[in-house]
Amino acid sequence: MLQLSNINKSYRLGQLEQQALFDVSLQVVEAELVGLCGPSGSGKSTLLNICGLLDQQFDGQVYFSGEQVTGPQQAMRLRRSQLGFVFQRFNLVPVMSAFENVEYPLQLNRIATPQRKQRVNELLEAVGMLEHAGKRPDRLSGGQQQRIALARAMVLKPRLVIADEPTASLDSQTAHQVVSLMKQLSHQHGTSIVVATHDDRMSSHCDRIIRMEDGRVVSDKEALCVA
Amino acid sequence: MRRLTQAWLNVQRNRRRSLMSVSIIAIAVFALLSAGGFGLYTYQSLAEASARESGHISVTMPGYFDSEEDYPLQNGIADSNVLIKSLLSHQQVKAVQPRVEFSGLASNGEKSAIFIGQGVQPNEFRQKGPFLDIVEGKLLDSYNPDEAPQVVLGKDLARNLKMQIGDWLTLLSTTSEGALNAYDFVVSGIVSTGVPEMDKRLLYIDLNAAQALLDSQRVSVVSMYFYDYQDVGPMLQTLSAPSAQQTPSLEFTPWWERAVFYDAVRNLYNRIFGVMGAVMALVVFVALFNTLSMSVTERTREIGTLAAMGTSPAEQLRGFVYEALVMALIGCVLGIIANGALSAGLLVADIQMPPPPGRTDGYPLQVYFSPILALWVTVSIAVICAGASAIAALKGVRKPITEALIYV
Repeated sequence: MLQLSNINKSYRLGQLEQQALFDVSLQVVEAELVGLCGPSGSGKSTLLNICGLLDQQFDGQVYFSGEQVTGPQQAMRLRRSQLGFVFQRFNLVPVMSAFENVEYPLQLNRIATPQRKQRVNELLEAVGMLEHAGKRPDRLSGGQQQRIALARAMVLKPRLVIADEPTASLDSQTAHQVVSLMKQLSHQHGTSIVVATHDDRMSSHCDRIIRMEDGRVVSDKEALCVA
Repeated sequence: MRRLTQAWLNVQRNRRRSLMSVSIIAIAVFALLSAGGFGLYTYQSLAEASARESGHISVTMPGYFDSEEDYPLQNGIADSNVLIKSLLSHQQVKAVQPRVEFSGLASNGEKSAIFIGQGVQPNEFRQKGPFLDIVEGKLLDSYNPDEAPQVVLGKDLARNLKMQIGDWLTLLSTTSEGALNAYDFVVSGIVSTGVPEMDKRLLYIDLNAAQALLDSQRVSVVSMYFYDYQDVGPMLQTLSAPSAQQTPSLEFTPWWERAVFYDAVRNLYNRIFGVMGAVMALVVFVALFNTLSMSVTERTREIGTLAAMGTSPAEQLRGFVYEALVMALIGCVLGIIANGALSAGLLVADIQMPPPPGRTDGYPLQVYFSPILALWVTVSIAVICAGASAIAALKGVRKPITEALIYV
């Protein structure tokens, strides 16, 4: 479903050029929950950005559903229709209600209003937030906001969800609930999830763990991640 | 509707900052509308004064205003009564006034002064309304050949010749045949036009007396007055059409072709208000650009999030433009309300402006409320705000998504 081949990525810091990824190749299949682990500076966020088609400035090839991603317009179109995102700080739009936040990707894809409403209600119910649909993010707890963010990421039934430290800002009980929910939704919708994490609670739920160090994939297997 | 609602909510994110921007817009709109309203009032007042002075349309022999006469009434209109009757047959025409324009020497027996005279029908003063300030005495009575002819003098001419009401004055002029002729007149009134240069030279006598002085039955000009000045244009076309031409052919000159002062003031005010408008536009642009720039910077991470979800830069720009339009709309409404209040307030409060250069009388300060001007200003401000917001937002939406998402 997602294939990365021979990815090299470097950043320029003043006169210095810092290589962030060295010849990274990987493949993510349908409905797989992949954990991306590694210490700070190992390149997992850089790799996550490339997996999420957020960054096109690299050497190598990215294929999404067999289609090579070659430009920002194509990447934008795929992000809009095939990808979902969950962020560490939730990143909900503060002037939108929970309902509107979840509805936003459907609006972007011009889904008709009745279907939109139905789909948003389904997702809010699935994450247990239907009763909070009218509330703005500032009236929700961190865990509730992350549930809304998860619903927003899943509302389009995307093929891939990119999650960047989704449990880092949550207490252990809430984190457990969010991780379970992610896994449940992933299996329900056949959605693949690539999640960058330091959190053992998260990685223990992953089907596969990719460990990174110094911009290289050092292991790729079903194993508990120790960050 | 939802976009507007979200724009309204975004405007409220930083209320103090938005309030400041809206205030600046409102003040700019108020200033533009007030200046424009004052200009419109001035234009209309001057237009009315010009039209009242010369008539909405002046009917003359061809070339009357372009060439000098060798002797009085050389280019005058003969059989003016027939022409007047013909012109009065148009239902849009309120009045038609024949006039004799002449000049000569006025003498009190000891001292003489050059005058510029107008021979008019006495009812012209009533028909034209209060355009003269009567300093002393009264205006002309109806002409009676058995009584002494009357003259109304400009106040400075009267002072120069030491004239009082009831004094006798001799007017000396050239007849239409080139001979000298003189008549004695009794001073019935002293007036001020508000223009010192005119007050030094101007006098009015009855039309028949003027014709007797010049020994001619012709008139210089026939002035047409309309009920509605909007009829001037169409009537001008009707009268100037070849099929409507009189014999001999006549020239029809609308008031605006003879309103030199009106044109000069209008050109001056248009330039002043144009510069003022440009400065106001710049102030609004800078204020909105500043507000939206700060807003964009604060919302960089949000911009990155929306971009990550596939929102195009154009869609994000549109959101910021809507915000600017909401602020522009609120500011414009407040500015228009303030202008309306000022306009109404000035109608009640009698505030006098000082006399303009070359005049002796002030005039009431009024500001017209013009819905068309308000619409134009609103549209212009909206365009400026939209432009400022688009430029301010461009920097944010062009930022790479990965940078925007980690922006602190």
